[in-house]
Amino acid sequence: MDLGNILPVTVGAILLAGLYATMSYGLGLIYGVMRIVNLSHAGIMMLAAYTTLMLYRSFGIEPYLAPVIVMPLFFVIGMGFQRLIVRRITGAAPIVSLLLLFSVWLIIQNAAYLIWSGNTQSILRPYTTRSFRIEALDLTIGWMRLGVFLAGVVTLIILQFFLTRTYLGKAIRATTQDRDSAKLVGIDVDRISMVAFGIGIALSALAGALFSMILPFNPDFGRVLMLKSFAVIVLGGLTSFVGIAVGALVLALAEEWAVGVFGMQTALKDLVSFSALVLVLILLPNGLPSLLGRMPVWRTKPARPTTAPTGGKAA
Amino acid sequence: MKTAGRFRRSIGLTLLSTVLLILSACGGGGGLAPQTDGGAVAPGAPEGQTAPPAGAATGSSAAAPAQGGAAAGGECGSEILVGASLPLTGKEARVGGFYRDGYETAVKQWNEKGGVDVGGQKKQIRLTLLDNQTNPTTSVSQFERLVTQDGVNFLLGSYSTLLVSADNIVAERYKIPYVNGGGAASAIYEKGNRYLFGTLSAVENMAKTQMQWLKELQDEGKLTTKPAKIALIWENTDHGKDYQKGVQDFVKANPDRFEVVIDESFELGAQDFTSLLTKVKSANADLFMADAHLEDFILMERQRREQGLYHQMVTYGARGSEKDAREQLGNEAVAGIVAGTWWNANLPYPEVEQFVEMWKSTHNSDVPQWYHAISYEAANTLFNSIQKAGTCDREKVRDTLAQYNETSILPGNKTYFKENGQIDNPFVIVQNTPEGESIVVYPKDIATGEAIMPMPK
Amino acid sequence: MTVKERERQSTAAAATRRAGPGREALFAVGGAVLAAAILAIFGLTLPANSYLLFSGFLLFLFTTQSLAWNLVGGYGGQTSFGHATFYGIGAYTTALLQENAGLHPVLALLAGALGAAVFSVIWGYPLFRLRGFYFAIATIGIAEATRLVALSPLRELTGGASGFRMSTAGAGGRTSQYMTALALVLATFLTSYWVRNSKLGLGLFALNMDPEAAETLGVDTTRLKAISLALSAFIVGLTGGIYARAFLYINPNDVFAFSVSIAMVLMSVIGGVGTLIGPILGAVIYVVIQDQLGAAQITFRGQTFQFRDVQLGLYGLLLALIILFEPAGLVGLFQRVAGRFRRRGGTQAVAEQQALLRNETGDE
Repeated sequence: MDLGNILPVTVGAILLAGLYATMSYGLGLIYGVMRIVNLSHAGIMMLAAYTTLMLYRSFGIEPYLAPVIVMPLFFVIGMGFQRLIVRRITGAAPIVSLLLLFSVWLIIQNAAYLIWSGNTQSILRPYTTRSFRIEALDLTIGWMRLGVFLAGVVTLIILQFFLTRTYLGKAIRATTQDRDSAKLVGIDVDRISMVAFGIGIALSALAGALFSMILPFNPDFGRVLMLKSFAVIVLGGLTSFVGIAVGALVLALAEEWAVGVFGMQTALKDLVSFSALVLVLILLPNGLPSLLGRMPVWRTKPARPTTAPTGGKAA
Repeated sequence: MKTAGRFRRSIGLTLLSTVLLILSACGGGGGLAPQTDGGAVAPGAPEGQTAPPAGAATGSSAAAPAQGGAAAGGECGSEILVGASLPLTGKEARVGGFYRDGYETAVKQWNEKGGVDVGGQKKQIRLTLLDNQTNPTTSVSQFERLVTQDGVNFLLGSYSTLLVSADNIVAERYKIPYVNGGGAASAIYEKGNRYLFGTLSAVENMAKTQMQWLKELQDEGKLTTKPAKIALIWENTDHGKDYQKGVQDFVKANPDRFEVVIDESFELGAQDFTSLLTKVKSANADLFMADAHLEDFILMERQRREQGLYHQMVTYGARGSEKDAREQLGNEAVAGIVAGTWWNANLPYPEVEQFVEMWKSTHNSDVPQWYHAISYEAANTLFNSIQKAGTCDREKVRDTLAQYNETSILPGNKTYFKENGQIDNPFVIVQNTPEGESIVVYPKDIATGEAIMPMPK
Repeated sequence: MTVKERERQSTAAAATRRAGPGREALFAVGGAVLAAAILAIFGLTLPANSYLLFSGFLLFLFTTQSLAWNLVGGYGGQTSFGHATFYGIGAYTTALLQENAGLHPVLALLAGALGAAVFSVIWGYPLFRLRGFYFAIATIGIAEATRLVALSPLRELTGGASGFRMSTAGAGGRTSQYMTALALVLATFLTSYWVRNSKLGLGLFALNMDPEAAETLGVDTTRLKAISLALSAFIVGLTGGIYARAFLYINPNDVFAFSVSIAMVLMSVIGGVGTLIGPILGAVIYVVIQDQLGAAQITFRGQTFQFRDVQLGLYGLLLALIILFEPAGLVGLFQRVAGRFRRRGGTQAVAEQQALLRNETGDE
């Protein structure tokens, strides 16, 4: 046990939480509205990372500006994909959507291997390894990590605003809570699903574009990240963005503290998120919020995995 | 609505049937049955095969026994059939491709010289290369196929320890010499294999060479701290395990010189090393000694710089001096990084100079990397041994390999095998210069430059 | 009509159909006899070529896994992405007991299979409370966690990343391996047939269709799931042990790999999940792709396309098409084609079978 590390490890964990949250919003939104686990999430992130790389290499667009192009692009792709393919399996058994999106991942991955080969890529700009120091606390913080963290926070704020203040957002929330009732009050659930899916994919793409500046990537990128996203949304209780942010923070703190403070081998770090995934599903089906009690932002009726409708009857 | 549904469904069924058709059409090409004849494979896999220039298409059928390779022990027909399975797709595809280049270049060179002299008769070499997709089950099954169906006389090995560990057993089972350039972990050679030979020195040796170099630096006064505190970071793979063992063994033998203050393993493909690097920082290490693959190297080195950590020496094992590392991190970022490699194009031997020239002339003036040299030398050693044995008899070729001791392009200027079949060459320690070169700094007798130690702040 | 109503109807239809000795049962019996005959011929006329012997061995091994996964994933509808744990535990238990404890190979095999079954109960019981996605996602977590544990904390036992090498002495010949795998695949097929037609199978079907209704009717769903998972785990554990004995080298990164689990899912789904013959068909296709097409290529307008470059994508495409258009897999496709030939209305049975597997998209 090393208490001297608490401060730097905690700061590192908070920054990492920003990364975890950013990559989990899209997954959470799609799950909430459509009761579908997007198994192509990793593929989308990978594709966005390569798009960012291409934008930089071919057009000289600075990677930090890439989301401005990448997000609308993937929003449209996501909507089209939902309209043409995913809509067909709404309400089918869970395995159907899981496997369909898994097959999409396989196809994207294969296409990436063909186009970009399997070589590891990374984006290198003068600012990608720059950092600043806080001498008083003996802390060094990378600008990019801070940037991703801030992006995660800003995204959360915008999403919260969008969900509580706009008609579309309210409709999405209503659909998340109860699809049938939403239909009854005149919400065009099909259209809402399409838009939500588009936003979800755009959010995954945002994560991919941001990560391309921090992490090296290849067509197999995102496998472990996706599993961690599952853990994050499960921890967060599955349907709320604030829940996701909290879940990301808890997971990041657990991982980093286990290694940095309690002296666990780094090799076992991923075990923390895998066990968290399983244990929370079993012991806390509604995620951490059920521990904290009803938070004020938590207005939605949380979905209970044990009694919630299985995919088959979500429609 | 109903008609529309039916229409869509029929489109789907048509698509489905098309995919199936494509699959079965391909099946015809690479098919199950018609491959007892080495020459007949051409439509299925011409790319993977280095066919000799002319006229040998049918000659090998006599040499391809249908039943168990062992029966064919001594004979080769007008050609020497050599088989290998490499990871040409999947996780190790990149390096697998380098090994294919190395093997194919060696075969081409020998064939252009007229072939291998087997007891006074010049024979061409025919190499059959299969792709195992970095999957051990497929790899083993392909070696099985090479031996029992294609009836190859000898085997060249795969790349990465996992695959070599799995498929050298096929060679033992059928008693066929198996020369590999891709299995570095010493564990493979511990099991009393008789037919296994490797031109890739153990990773433990790399660690020991690095440590020996550091010890000499201490003697010269370039490394002032004694005992020097080492942060030992290793990937949780056979590669990393060997590295860790090599360093730890050396430190235990020299407790007055070195001390390992942190000994930590990590899983491949991590997203964040903050907590690990925080540990390194609070341990106050002088030397940063890691063993990592390219992805993890890129991330860890980025974060190490981001965190503003300074160490007198930084190494990532074999990583850091190769083209990919420079391209992905930039010359400036990898400057000063020390790597232990199996080979370097600047080695001052005439054989190396010839090899580099030959390679450049056949590969768009690309300078060969260590992967190329090691795999080339594996193939070269096998062909040389066949020639020296003067027969295709597998036992005799095996014995020749076991006795093998020839001048070569490898560090130490020699290729020979220890009793367990693994080569025991020294490693070359190189350091990156800010200009994007890597200079050999150790061993002294082949050094091409002076090490900059400790690393400038 | 809402999806719910539709589902009720199809459930009812399926139930009536299952009750009588309908065409479904006839088909199953016919298929069983045919498959058994084919396999028996395979066994009686041992392939002369030693490579075919080995290919056959692998094919039987994959087929067994596919059939075993189908017991719980198909009949029971519990999509498991964690079957690699059983494979790995079977392989390691067998190898360690035989190598380090000198246990008789057959006993070691059985011990490995039992170990896998016990492990399945350990994680199965708590996880069976979860449904659908939750179960599937949790199994991924279990599988990855198990792999990491085998890799690091149990390094001394498993060899860690270096893997575990068995001695060559005492390894059976290829012929005996082939016969073992053949016997296993036949036994598994019969098991699958038996489960399908037993009370267990009926319960699983009911559970798959409507868990709440099944519970109200007094079906102990957790027990059913546990039994089918343990059975499945036992068989997959056996294949792990047989694999270890044939390959003599195992590595946590290989036998506990996510790709092992995925392969079982792919084979079952491509062939026809929940059907008797589907998993066999899926395994054959899978092995043919994996094993035979690695070197294939097509030359088109002077450009050469390596099959291996698009293999992953083709799996994906095949999977996507099957899910979208023919949820009963290749078996469904063949039945449909056969039905077309026989009479116009022959697709009804298929349609019903499809309805069993998924509810069609409601076109409200």
